Amino acid sequence: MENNSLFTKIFSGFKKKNRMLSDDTYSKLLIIPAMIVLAFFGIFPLFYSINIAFRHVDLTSGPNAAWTWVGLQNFKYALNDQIFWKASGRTLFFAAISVSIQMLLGIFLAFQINKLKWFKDIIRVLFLFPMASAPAAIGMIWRYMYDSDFGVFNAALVALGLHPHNWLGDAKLALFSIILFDVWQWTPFVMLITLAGLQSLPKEPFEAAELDGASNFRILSKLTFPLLSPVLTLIFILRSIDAARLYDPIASTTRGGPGSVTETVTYLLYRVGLKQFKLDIACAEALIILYVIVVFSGLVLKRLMRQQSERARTK
Amino acid sequence: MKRSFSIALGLLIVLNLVLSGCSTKAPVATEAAPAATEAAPAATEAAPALNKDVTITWATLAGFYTDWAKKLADEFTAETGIKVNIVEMDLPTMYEKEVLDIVGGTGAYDIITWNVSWKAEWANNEYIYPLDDFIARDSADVDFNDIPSALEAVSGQWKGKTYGLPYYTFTPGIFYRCDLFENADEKAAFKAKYGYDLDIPQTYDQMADIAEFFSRKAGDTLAGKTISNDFYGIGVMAGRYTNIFDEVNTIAWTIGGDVINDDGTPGVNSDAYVKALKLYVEKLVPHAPTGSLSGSYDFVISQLNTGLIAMTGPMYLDQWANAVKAEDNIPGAEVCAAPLPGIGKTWAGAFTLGIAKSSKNVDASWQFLKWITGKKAQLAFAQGGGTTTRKSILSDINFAKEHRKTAGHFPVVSYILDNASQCWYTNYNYVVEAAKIYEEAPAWLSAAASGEMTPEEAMNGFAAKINEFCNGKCQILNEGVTKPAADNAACTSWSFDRSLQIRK
Repeated sequence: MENNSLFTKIFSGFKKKNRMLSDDTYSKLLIIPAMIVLAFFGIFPLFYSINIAFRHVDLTSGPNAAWTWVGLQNFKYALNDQIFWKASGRTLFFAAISVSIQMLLGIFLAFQINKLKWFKDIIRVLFLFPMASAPAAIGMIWRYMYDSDFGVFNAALVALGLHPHNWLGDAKLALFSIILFDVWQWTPFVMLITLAGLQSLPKEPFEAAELDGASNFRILSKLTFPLLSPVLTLIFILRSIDAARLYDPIASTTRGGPGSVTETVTYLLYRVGLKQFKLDIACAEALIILYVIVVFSGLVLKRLMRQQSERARTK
Repeated sequence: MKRSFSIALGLLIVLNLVLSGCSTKAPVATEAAPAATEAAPAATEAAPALNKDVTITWATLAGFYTDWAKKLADEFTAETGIKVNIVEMDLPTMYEKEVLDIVGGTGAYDIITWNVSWKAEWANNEYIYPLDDFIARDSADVDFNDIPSALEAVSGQWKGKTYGLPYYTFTPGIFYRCDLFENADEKAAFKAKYGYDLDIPQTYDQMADIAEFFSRKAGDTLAGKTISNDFYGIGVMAGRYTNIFDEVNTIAWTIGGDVINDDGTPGVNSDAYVKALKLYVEKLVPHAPTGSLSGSYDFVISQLNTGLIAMTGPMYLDQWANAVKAEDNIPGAEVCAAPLPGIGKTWAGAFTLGIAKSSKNVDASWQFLKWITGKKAQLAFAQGGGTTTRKSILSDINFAKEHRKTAGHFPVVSYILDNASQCWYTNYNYVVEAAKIYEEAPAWLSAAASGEMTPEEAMNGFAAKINEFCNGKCQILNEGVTKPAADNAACTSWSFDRSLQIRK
């Protein structure tokens, strides 16, 4: 498909004039703007954080405080910090439960919507609303919906003759309330991507399977899911990374409470870095989390790449 | 392609390492404020007309107080030509937004607003300009003597210099349903159960008794009527917000506890402080609506307005205009304000305005600062429902009577501030790390309130954090500060002139 962007037109003209410009060079030139943006907003902050993580940096220690080199001291502190480990464990628990529910529910919804003959497009658009809404605004609305005294959830429970709950104030319930919020907001994402994947699957293998008399379960297990696995793996990785970085719902509902039962690792980093202004510790802890996420993503992707290679070889 | 791409990526990484490695020093603060060497304008003249192209930015708290300020800012612009851009912030995020601007030297905010706990850090780190020269030059406009001394000392002064002027006070007291407290049936029942008269609590143990007494289930009677929903004796701000620190400190100060001991060690795990926290957790929270464990001050006011609670715990009296709406919502209800058991031993504080060191419009900022904290603007603020920081307005009983729904609490606030100037002292106000301690406190106090930890465990954890912030003992920079006299009767016994309550 022709790329008609202004940038492409300029360089196409440039290429036509300069016959020494190869396709290879041309393609490199096209990605330079994206690389510059990535460098300034992604790579430079990353290396700046790495620098800070090896120094003593407290923004509130006075106007002339030097950022002295401390080596691995911040990492030692982070690795010995019980609060950091508890927040990490809590985040892992949250991500495991929330992402699992989102995947199951999202895939189920995608299959159901894929079968619809009418209103498919309207339903798809409606499902966009939770994801498209401003997280802070949605968080505030959910905070009021969850309120024990005035909230709509308890009003509904009482109307049905059921016992109301202290959704955000009960230490045993608060994290699950956040999970419910997260599932509501991001299941549509899983559904939409899965639906797109379903709709892009080739029809021929399914027609052949039907002709051969394969059962629905066999088609699902041997055809649909294996063909969908790259899409589902990608969704799983993206949702897991997002869940690990959970911040907005916490900031707008519980602020990590009651106690610290909903304090995720990102919220802890916010507290350490922007309330205590211990940027050194916050950067060290952030790098540890980054490392874990990269390793996790790498392992999952490696498995997927191996499956794809095997499939390509058997064709 | 692969080789050249790898080379390009490698160069990019090296470049980033070099650039980030170069930034190893904190930004240096700009120079101290220029001395006001010009002659002060006469008191009756308007502020000098400055460059009409000047726009100053004021970072302040979002809320109805700022809605009022926007209208007044237009008046200021009409008088002086200086435009005022008001940036509203939610209180939980205000601290870091302002610090990042000042430390980064962006100059985005000219006038900044601070909470009491942040002042020591900002003044000590030279984030804000001392204002003494400006105040001396424009003394008639400022009229320093009209600002309650307790407020100014706590909110605006540091090491003998003035860094800010308070513009609205949140000094706590108690709101209670005086119609319930004065109901004959309730009074008789209370006396029979507890052996003393039902009245404004003079100790926190009495507050706990009243909270327990007024907690009723649906189907019970309240003031002679059968209630259809549960009713609670008290509303508390037990969510993970800084409000919980305000409440527990107020209790602790009344029984001799403090955040920081006289020797600089943490006082939060002292017997007195833990006792205060236990009273809060074991005797007040259980009689509060369940939503209290995730709520802040606005939730408590809503609980009062909807007839869910008989009284608040330590509550910011500037919420009077919201609290008194209960009288419109609940037939027969009357809301009264009163001092807390410790009277002035509470957060006699205010949101205070100062000029950021990163400001590029210092003179224009001072013009607006003195204007918005001056009598004229403060009177308009008071008429609009704000709790002024001007003594002359706060102590004007006739003003309070004329504006009961917005200023009915003023005489009580005035009384509390007078008492605070004689009776309230806390080491915490003189510790540079107070801001960090303030932001850290909710995590630990909420852990105790919710039962995640025992009060002792939570306070030991909090004490360890305070030690970490202070690198050992905290330095208490209170030279020249006079502590209250131990034998002052006003500070050891509770008294309150009921004529200060503006009744319906």
